[in-house]
Amino acid sequence: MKKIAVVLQHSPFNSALSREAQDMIMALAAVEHQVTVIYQDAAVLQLLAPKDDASIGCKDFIPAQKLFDLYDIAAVVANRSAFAKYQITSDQTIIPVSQLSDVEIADLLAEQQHVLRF
Amino acid sequence: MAVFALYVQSSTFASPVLASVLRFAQATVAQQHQVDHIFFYQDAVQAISAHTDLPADEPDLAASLITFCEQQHIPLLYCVTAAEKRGLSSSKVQARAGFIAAGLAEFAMRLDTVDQVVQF
Repeated sequence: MKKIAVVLQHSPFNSALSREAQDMIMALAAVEHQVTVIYQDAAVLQLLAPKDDASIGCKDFIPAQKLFDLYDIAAVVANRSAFAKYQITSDQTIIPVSQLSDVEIADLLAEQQHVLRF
Repeated sequence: MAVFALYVQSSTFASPVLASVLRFAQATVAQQHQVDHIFFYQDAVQAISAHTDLPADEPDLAASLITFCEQQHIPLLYCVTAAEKRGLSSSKVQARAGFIAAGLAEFAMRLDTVDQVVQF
């Protein structure tokens, strides 16, 4: 078992990047790694439910983030400044997320044994 | 001695990522460290295509990587789901000889015995 951070940095639907990142998160957690998911930059948009999911043009993987709890994901955090930049408030996110400062996220990353970025 | 996993996700066509992976793997072995495996995910699964037809003046970096990894007994693994979605692997389409089909779960399990993951 390793402490692994998965850092998400991109908006959800512009490419397969974020969707395939979610598959990686689930796979890491399924084999008992201690996984921390960190939303940075435009990735905070992944925490919002699409208003019209029929028009996205690709699989809506946003609701599957609710499975993080079931998969025993150790921590789900987001960059506070990204929330401010994209004008997202904590009551809008589909799963509970701890908002951390840049320094707190740096400390969290320093605790990890592996880091993967998407 | 440290044990490395090389995780590749960048497009192997749009960037010189395979050259970087090969150089890193060669340097790792030259310094008596170990490469546990190389894993291809996302658009990097392009590397496994057996049907890539390169002009004579472009280097076949996948071939160089296969040769090096066979010499050093380093498994070249790819995510079969990512490859299937991109039409690079199916019952009719075989991956290039030297690449081994794997899943995200195998990659995740291998990380248990790895000291460092290097992402390309």
